[in-house]
Formats: sequence, C-alpha cells, structure tokens
Amino acid sequence: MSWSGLFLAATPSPSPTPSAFGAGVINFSILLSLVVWTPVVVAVVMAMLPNPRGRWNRHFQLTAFWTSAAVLALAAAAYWQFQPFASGLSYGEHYGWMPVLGIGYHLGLDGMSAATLLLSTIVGLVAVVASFSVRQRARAYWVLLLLAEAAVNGAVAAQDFFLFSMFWVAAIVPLALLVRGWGGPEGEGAANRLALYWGGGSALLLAAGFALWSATGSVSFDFGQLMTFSPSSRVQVVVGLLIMGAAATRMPIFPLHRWAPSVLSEAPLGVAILIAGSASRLGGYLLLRFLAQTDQSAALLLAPFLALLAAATVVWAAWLALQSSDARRLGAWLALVPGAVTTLGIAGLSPLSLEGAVLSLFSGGVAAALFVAASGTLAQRAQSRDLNLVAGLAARMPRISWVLLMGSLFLLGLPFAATFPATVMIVLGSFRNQPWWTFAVVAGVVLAAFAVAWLVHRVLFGEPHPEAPSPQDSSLSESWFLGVLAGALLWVGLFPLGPRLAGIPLFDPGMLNVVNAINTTLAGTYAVPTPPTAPSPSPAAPSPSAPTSPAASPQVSPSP
Amino acid sequence: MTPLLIPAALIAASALVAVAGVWLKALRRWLGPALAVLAAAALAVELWQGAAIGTLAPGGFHQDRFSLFAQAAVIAGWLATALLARRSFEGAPWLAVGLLLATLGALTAASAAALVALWLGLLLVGVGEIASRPRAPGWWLSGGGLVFSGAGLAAVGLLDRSWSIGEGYRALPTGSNGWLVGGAVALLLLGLVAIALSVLRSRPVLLPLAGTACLLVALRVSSAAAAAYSVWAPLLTVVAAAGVVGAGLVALSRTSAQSTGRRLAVLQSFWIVGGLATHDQAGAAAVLLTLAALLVAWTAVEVVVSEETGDLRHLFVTSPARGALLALSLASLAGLPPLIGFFGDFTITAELFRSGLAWLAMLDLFAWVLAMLVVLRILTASYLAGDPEERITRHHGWRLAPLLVVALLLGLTVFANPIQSLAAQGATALGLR
Repeated sequence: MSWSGLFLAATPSPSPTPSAFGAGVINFSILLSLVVWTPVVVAVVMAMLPNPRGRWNRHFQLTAFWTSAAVLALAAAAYWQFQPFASGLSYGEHYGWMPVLGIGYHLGLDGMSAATLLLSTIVGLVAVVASFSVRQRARAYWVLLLLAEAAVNGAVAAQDFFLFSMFWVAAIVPLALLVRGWGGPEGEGAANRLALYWGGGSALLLAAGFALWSATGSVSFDFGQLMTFSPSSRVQVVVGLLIMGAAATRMPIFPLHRWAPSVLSEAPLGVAILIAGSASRLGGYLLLRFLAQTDQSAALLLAPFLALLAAATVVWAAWLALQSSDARRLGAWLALVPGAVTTLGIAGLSPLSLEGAVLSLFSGGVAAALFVAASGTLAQRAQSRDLNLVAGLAARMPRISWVLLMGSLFLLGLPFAATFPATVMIVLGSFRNQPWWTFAVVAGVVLAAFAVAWLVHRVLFGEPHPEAPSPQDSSLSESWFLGVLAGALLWVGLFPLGPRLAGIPLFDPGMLNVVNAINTTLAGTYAVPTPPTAPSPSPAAPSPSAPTSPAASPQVSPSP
Repeated sequence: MTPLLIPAALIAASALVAVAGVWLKALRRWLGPALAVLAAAALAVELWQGAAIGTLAPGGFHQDRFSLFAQAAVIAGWLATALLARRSFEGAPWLAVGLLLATLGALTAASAAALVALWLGLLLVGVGEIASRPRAPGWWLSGGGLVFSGAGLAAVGLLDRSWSIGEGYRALPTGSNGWLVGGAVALLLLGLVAIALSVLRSRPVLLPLAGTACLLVALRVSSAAAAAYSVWAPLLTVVAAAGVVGAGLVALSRTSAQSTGRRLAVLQSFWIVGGLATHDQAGAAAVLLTLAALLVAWTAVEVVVSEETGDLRHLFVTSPARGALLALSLASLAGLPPLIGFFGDFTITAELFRSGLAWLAMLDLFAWVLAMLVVLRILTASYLAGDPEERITRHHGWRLAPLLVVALLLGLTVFANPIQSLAAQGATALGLR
C-alpha cells in the first residue's frame, strides 16, 4: 500500500461515528459571540477603570488571564462537541444587520474554522501567560492584547465578508501599538513595517471582496452567497491574485515577508507568540476559504505560482536562518517554515493536500508559536541574543533547552507531533500536481533542519563562551506555558483521531476528523475522479457500481 | 409656527443666547451647557418629527427623509461642539455665534428646495465665519467662494430654466448643454473649495460644519444633475483621486494631532466626493452615512485639540475622557474598524466597485492605508511616548461632556443599521435611481 493509501486509510470512514462523550452538554446559541466579544468588553472596561499609580496592575493581569482562559474553555467546548459529519455550519448565529447593504451578523464554524479557533484561543492564552513579566504601562498592554486576541477570533468565526474584513483589519492597530510600545530597540521600525504590510494586505483583501461582491450581483456579503455564485474566469483570476497578495502579507509568503523577522524578533514575547501562532495563520485561512473554496478556476491557474512562492519562502527563510547570529531573529526566520508548508498544501489542490493544509493551520501555528517562544525565552534567560556568545546552555538551562529542542523538532515535523501527519499529507498530496515545487519545499525543510541542527548544537551543546552573561533557567511556574504548546502538538500527534474508549470518542472528536469535515465544501471539489471499473465477465457476479459523481472520492466523501 | 421649523428655531435661539453671552459675562460660564441642552432638544425634535414631510417658504425649503437625515447629522455635529467647547465659549463667546450661524447655514442647505436657498446656506456659513471674529479673516477668499458658488448655482438654474430642485429633482438636460452643466458644476466646486479654504485659514473649528454645508450643497446639485453625469462625474473622480492621495501623503508628513486630524478629515471629504461620482441611490446613501460619521469625529478632533494647551502626550492621563475621544475620533476619521468611519468608507468603496470605478476605489484604499499609518503614529506619540515612570500630577478626571460625545460616536456605530436605513431613505428622496 502506498503512503497516500496509508493516510487515506487513517482518515475516518464516511459512516457516522458515535458522538464524543459529553457532546451536547455545553451548547447555547451565543457561544461564538461570547468567544469573540468577551475580550473586547473586558478590554473596554479595563481601559476605563482608574488605576492610580498602577495599583491594580496585578488585577488587570489576572483579569486578562482568566478572560483568555474562559474564551479557551468556550472554544474547546465548541471543538469537543463539533460534529464532523453534520452538514452546514455549527454554532451558527445569523442576524440581519444592515440588510440594505447585504451585511449580516453571521458567525459559524465548519471544520477549518473550528480547528483554527481552537488554535487562536490556545495561542491567545499562552500569549497572556508569556506576558506576565510586563510591568510598564501594564493596563494598556493587557487592553491591546485582549483586543488583538478578539480580532483574530472574530476573523475565524466570521461568515460574512464585512465582519471578516472588519476583524482582519482590527488586529493591525493593537498589534502594531504593542510592538511599538513594548518592543525592543528597533520596535518602532518593526511596528511600521507590520502596519504597512498588513495594511496593504487589508486593502487587497477589501478590493478582492468588493470585486467578488459586485461580480456576484451586489446582493450580499455573506460567505454563503459569495461562494455560491461563480463569476467569470477573468474576475476569478483578478480576485485570486488579490487574495494571494493579501494572504502573502499576513502569512507571510515570499516576497512580502520582510515584516516578519523584525516583528517576531523585536516584539515582546507574548505578542510574538500571538503573531506567529495565530494572527499570521489567518493568511492561510484566507487562501483556503477564498481561493481554494471560492475561486476554483483561479486556484487551478495560480497554484503553480503559489507553490513557487511557498518553495521560495522556505528556502529563503532557511538560508537566512543559517546566516543569522541573533537567536530571536533565527527563530523568526524558521517560524516562516510552517506557513510555507501550509501554502504548498493549498497549492497542491488535492483532497489530501488540502486536508493537510487545514491540519497544518493548527499544527504549524502551534509549532511556530512554540519555536518563537522557546527562542525568545532562551534569549531572555541567557541575557543575550548573540549566538556567538550564547553557547553550551544545556547543562545550565535544562528546562529551556528541552523546550527548544522539542520546538525545533516539532517545527520540522517530527513523528508523534501534529506537524508530522500534516507535512506528510501535504507532501504526498501535492506531489501529483506540483512535483517540482514540492521537491523544492522538502529541500527547504531539509535546509531548515540544518539551521535547526546548527542552532541546537551551538546553543545547547557547544563550548560556553567565557564572556557570555550567566544564564538562568526558568522555573516551572515561569515556563509552563511552553509546555502547553508542546503538549497540544503531542496530543494531536498521538491522538489524531481523538482518544477512544471501547470505540467511543472521549471528549475529543479528533483533529483529523474535524479537519476532514471540510471535504464536502472544499477538498471534494478537487478530487480526482476515479475511472469506471470494467464490467465483470461472469453474468452471475454483480459488477461493482462506479461512483456517479465525478467529484466524489470513495475514501473521503462523507455521508450527509 | 409649523413644527418643522422648531429645530431651526432652537438653533436660532441658541444664537441669541450666545449673543447674550457676549454682553453678559455672568452668562458665559453657563453658555456651553445651555447651548448643549438646546442642541439636544433640537436633535430630539428633529428625530421625533422624522416622518413629517412638508414644504415651507413657497417651495424654498422642503422637509423629507433626506433633509431629516442631513439636519439630524448637522445638529449632532453642533451638539458635539457645544458639549466640548465650553472653555472656548467662556473665553470667546463670539465663537459660539459663528458656529451657530454655520450650523444654520448647514441646516438651510440640508432642507433647501431651491437653488437660492442652497446659496443662502453658504452665505450663512460665510457670515458665521465673520461673526466668529477670526484673527486672520480671509474676506477675499470667502467672498470669492460665495461669488463662484453663486455663479455656479445660477448657471445650473438658468440651464434648467428652473430655480427649484425639489419635488423629484428632475434631471438637468443633457446633450448640447452637457458641457455647460459641467462648467456650472465646476464653478460651484471652485466656490465650495474657496469657502472651505477660507474657513480653514480663519477659524478651523468652524470647518466641520462649513465643510458639511459645502458637501450637502454638492450632493444636492449632483443629484439634480444626475442625467448629465457623463460630463461632471469624471471631473469629480479626478478631483477625488487627487484629493485622497494628496491628503493622505500630506497627513503622513505632519506630526501634530491637530493638523493630522484635519488632513484625515479632508481625506474623508474627498472620499465622499468620490462617492458622489457614483450618481446613484446606493452611492448617495453611502455618502450620507459617511458624512454623518465624518462630522461628529471631525468636530471632536478640532475642538479637543484646539482646547488642549498642554502636551498631548499626557492627554490620556490628565484628561482620560478627552484622550479616549481624540483616539476614537482619529480612528474613525482614518476609517479603522469597528467604528462608524469604517462603515462609511466600506460602503462608499463597495459602491465605487459596483459602479465601475474600481481604479478610484483602489486609490481610496491606498489612502486608507496611509491614514492608518498616520493614526498609529499619533496614537503612539500621544500614549506611548515619553517616560512611563514620569509622574503626571495634573488630572482632570473623567468629565461628562467628552464621554457623551464618545457615546454619540459609539452610538453611531452600534446603531449603524437604522442610521444606514435612514440614509438609504434620504437617498431615495433625492430622486436618484
């Protein structure tokens, strides 16, 4: 059996499976609104409360923590109770808002957004915990961080283009202010670059949305409406290019990646985690939602170009990581690798690669966040970012060293981590349609492995530099949040279909099952039709019936 | 007295109170609150009698859904001014008189059903500029503006052979007279720009109301000349394109909050001018929505910044309410979500795409990115610059007036649906298709 066959066999059968244990326990109609708006409300209240001489800073810190924890709990409940084989959106909230303009308040989750929402809430909580050391202008920091978190959550849950673009743009200002106000010495330049790239990408996104809206009759901005009509190929290509540009600025993808190294290396640790782990993943989400799902003609035409850019991103990032002598900047370069792999999966345009891309949204985001967090924490604790000084830390900083090692290996797609099945699905699924660029991406990942090996060898196991500052390992209470990220990757890697007891899924429907739910709306469109089987020569033996729908894949099409 | 005149009468009464404040120094301390109460009453009456339709001054003034929306927006802008400019009114009561005359001028333009009434509205704006006793009056500029705008309106009337723009707003003739219509509109535009420039030079705090009056006049005339759009719409698109890009680049080069806020408001104004070029109902509705957002935010920025004499960097600490208002107003002017400015820009840009003016929409989006960068710089300089450990002792606490204006601005966002519906009805009343 081929590798692709192994993975296809590992994906769940289309027959309905028992609901996860505890399904339906937490289910109310405004769950997604709570996830999206709770941080906003808390941030506004925090901004207005008096804080004489910073007396309440500790309370604001705890408020931000418990708010993020509550949002994670709600998102986890939504994920655990997600029905992968149910058609339509889960937890849908649809209210008329401005019907004259065709704008509605529409939130909902499908498989892709359920996985991405879980990612953004996990990363959001970790970002809050990683920011516990912030002391200056603490209240403003927590307010902006909560607003940024809410913006990312809102973009994932939105099912209306107006809402989606509103949240997409709303993330820019708080993140840029955070980088500028609490970042390193070059934080101002980094913030300017972030605002410029993301602002430009937002303009491209809006242009794409408007073009699609006007081409589909200017009726409604609802995703269901926009994605139902098929505009002309010319319009699709224009929209596709605009979407690619918008996604490339956010993901980031070469050549619109210049903001990432400076922002991820200059931003405060929590903000860098949020950007690398969830905010930037919206680029991949956009490509999947608007390019692959909506503009099929444009996707097929632009796929080779997208794959080229993915290969260029991973090779360029790995090459510059090899040349970098700054620990945080090296971590920033390598954090681009998961995004490039996701992009390759989208460009592969096969059911397997697209499902791998959706899984990679989650796993790559967590891996990137973990690696950025680990390299940032190491630089903090070693009191230097200079890789010429920082060396031989394994004996003196065992805890951080372990985390860095795990982060490095998970980033590359080590087996038992969630990045492994995602990467394999993407590579195997993309090889049919984009063989050369798939090979280039794999080569880039190998190059990245060299960079990782070089980093680990020098930083952890090299000879300590006599002039280096004395490092201090972090305590468990200071670095447990890194374990959350590693644990999430291991959990999904070890139980991709969710843990089961006597065949009954235990509280986790399985990330692979959730991701597979996109098959009816996304992956199935690109399925390769199976050839009809030859009729049996014996009249007594019934001939197997061929599938009637050319888009149906016998292994992955779910039952309605 | 017909109930339709009550809001205007309340504004006129406010002007009398302001004049009284000039002579009675004891009254000056209460001038701001008194004007704010009268403004709130005017707004309430205007909204309450919203369904009323009528014609006054034999066809000179017309109350319909368009005038309802426009007048409500103008009164809301004046209410914001009255709430925030208490200190200015105490020191310079003539300023209140000038502002009230500008408000009356905008109200007149909003309910005008004749070309003469439109010009009357502009004249009141000019008189208000003079009445506010500016330090550097630009007589020639405002006078020239009135002359040009009057000539433009007169030319439109002569070509249409009618001075009325009420009752269906029938389109002006096209064909051989199309270029003449275009020329008349160009004259009018020149006059409006001159009036706005004059106010900018002499009394910038009047600019939001004066600018609104000018935009309302432009909207009314463009609606009336909709059939000849092939002549004047390209002119508007070129002006709008140059305006948004130019204003955005100039704003990027400025560093003070006041001048930046003003440039952002000018950028939004040109965005609205671009919306006029769509020459249809949906575009006009988008223009009205954006105009309301622009007026409140612009007023807040002008008044707050003009009254703050200290370092704006400490504004959020010393006057947190004013600081929040300034931040929200600048963000709304820049079209940042989730504020009402984003809604307005979104709708205008969507209509530009639908009308085939995608190139103008792309330039608008480019200018929008510039505006975002500008606001980020201002917010950083205001709230994040300086030593965070610096002790700031002067603290005015949370004042009610700025909070009310914040509530007004946020209310426009929260109630965007009914406001947008009203704007759509107003556009329908203009007779556009």
